[in-house]
Amino acid sequence: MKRKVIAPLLIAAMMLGSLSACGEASGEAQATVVDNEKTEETAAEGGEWAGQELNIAIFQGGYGDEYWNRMVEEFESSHEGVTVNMTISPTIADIIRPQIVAGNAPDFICLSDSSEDGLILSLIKEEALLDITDVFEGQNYAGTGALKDDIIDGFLESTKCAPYQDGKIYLAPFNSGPQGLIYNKTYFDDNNLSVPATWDDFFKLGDDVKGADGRALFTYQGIYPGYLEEMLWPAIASHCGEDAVKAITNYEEGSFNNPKVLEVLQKMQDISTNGYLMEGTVGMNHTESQSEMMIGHSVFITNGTWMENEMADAPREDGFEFAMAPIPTFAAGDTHYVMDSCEQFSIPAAAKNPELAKEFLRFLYSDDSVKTFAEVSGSLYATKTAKDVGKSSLSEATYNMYGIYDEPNTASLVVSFATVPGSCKVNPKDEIFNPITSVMNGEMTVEQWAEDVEAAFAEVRSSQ
Amino acid sequence: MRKNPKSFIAICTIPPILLTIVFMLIPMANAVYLSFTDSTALSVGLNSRFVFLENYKYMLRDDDFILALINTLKLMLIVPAVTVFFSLILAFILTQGKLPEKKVYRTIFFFPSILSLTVVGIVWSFVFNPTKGILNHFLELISLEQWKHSWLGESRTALWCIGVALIWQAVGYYMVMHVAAIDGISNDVYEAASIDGANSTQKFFKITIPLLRRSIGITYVLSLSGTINLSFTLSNVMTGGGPNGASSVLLQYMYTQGMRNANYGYAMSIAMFTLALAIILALISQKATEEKEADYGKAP
Repeated sequence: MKRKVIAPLLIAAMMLGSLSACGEASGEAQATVVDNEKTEETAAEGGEWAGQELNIAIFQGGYGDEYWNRMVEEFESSHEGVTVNMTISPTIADIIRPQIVAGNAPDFICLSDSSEDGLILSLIKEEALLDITDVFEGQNYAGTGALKDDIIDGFLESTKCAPYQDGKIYLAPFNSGPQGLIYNKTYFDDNNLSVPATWDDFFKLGDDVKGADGRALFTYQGIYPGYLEEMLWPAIASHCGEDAVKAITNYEEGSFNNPKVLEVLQKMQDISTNGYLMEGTVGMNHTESQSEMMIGHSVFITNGTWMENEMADAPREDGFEFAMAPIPTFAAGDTHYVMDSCEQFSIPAAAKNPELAKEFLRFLYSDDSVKTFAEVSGSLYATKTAKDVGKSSLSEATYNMYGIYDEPNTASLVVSFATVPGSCKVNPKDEIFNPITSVMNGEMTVEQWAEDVEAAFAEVRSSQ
Repeated sequence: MRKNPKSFIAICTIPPILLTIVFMLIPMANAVYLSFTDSTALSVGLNSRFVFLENYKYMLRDDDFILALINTLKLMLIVPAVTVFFSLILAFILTQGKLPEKKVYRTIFFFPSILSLTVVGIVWSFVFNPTKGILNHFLELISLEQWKHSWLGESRTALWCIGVALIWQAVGYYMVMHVAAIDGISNDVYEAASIDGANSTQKFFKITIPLLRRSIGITYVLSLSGTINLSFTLSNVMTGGGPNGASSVLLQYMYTQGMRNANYGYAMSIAMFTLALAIILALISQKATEEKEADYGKAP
């Protein structure tokens, strides 16, 4: 009898272990806390912000921590008497989530709303972010004009920055960069190939290279099909118009299963069913497929400008040079859209020192900061002048990839989904991109795909 | 002078009771409460909206949840049985076999269970890699090209790849438990069987398995709960739950809803469901092994 009770209790204890792991992962998370303490003497010297403390929480992604260490140092030296306490970690959400719950929120957060941890999404759902519209309406750091005029068009109005679409900004755009078809420029130059403009050109190029050296036309990040948004949204915008994308991101009925959108979905399936997809793609992760592309097994892969840094140590074809092409269009002369996206900064509504956090935010958009970011990370801020300011710091290939917007007939496309209601259990992006592998495998038709997405959209609408 | 040991024992039990209350019972009660709310993981206090059975009702019509449940049940049906079976065979060979390098094998077989599960996932991702993986290369070598697959990218195979990794990492662990149990069986029994002319297979099925019923029952229950817990990590690392949810499991779906989609209340209701499922299955398997034990104890 005793054992009868013990065994289920054992199970219960093990299950609880996994439950509590979700809520209290902070204990295990590795963090670097940089406490740049200034002496009290400095604080006594004066200055507008003298004696104040700023607690910042930074997600440490592919860009490393050097940029942030330098920014903290520069901010402290330009704002006498200020102490910045920085917590920087790849698992920053696990660290600050319990702090926020306990009423001890950081003053400033650098973390994207699309990160796996869902922290920013929770803050949006809880309406727990500070309205920072005044920062953008106000002067930029150099005092030469309104900060909002410095930001690349399209970001501040999108749900990436204005999640409630009420004209107020709650998230600030951080970095920005085009995302499209990455290819090896040397291979194109050596074989006198030209970048395909239309889908017909695209598939013809596929036939040519297959006949020439057996390489596949296209691959993507297999088990992470979300990367294909870099192909899907521009293709829909070109063929069906930007309004069609807007209708989808607002979950409108019939926005995903209409005949025009189905034509685009069919093109994506054609890549696989007509034999243009690199063998084994669906079973690979992002690193594997990107490596395969770089050693010459595929001509194109969907990705962003960060790929050069991300794959810095990966083996590659002789003379490999990164370049980016836009997604093909149905007809010659159609506008080529290139997807742009950004990570974000935010200030929690419960921040203890919101004014200093806003000052820090303004400071981050200064030319010095933008230049340092380009120099250290090889990437650009979402400001209009970032490309010029950072030109000397970027590699030639990355600089050229950023130049894709300057090509004729090319436009930038910022896609951001309307915030789903708090009670909604559906993640629209998952519903759109997860079925792609099944579509590529031929286990699902594009019509079924579209119907499933429409059902998910209906679920979102019914939660509103 | 002798003091009453009862009061001393009672005082000694206070710290573990307090720890159990603070770290097990209160979080457990909190999780039960949260499963009736629309908490987002930031409002884990009492400020979440109470939705009563709404989360549980939604669960029943949530296709993604049902798919994750079916996948978990498939794994629970196959993985513990295969794991326990192989661990028994290995334990039997190591204890009854005449292998001179027994100790080496014991270490090698146990090795996967001390590896981090993430490492296990990555190692098996390489094995199943469609172009560089050893499995497809091996099939090519023995002229079975038609059996080659994008193992982790196809709906039919992805879940079972996770199952294979689960079995591989757990077999050694249960093998050690069975070795200890077999060591507890008197050698006289095996010797008597040998004199009666029993071969190894007969000894395995007629002596080892019946005498290890209790041990098998415990390892089976442990393996059952291990399958529920560990499949989460492997699924995350190897397939991300894909393709299209074909290899998603309950705890992974719970994590996705709780963290990624910020539906912590719903995630807790999935956790409660999983907990109930695990307890029920544990009780059933306990019951099953006990009845058989009773049968075995009866005189013929």
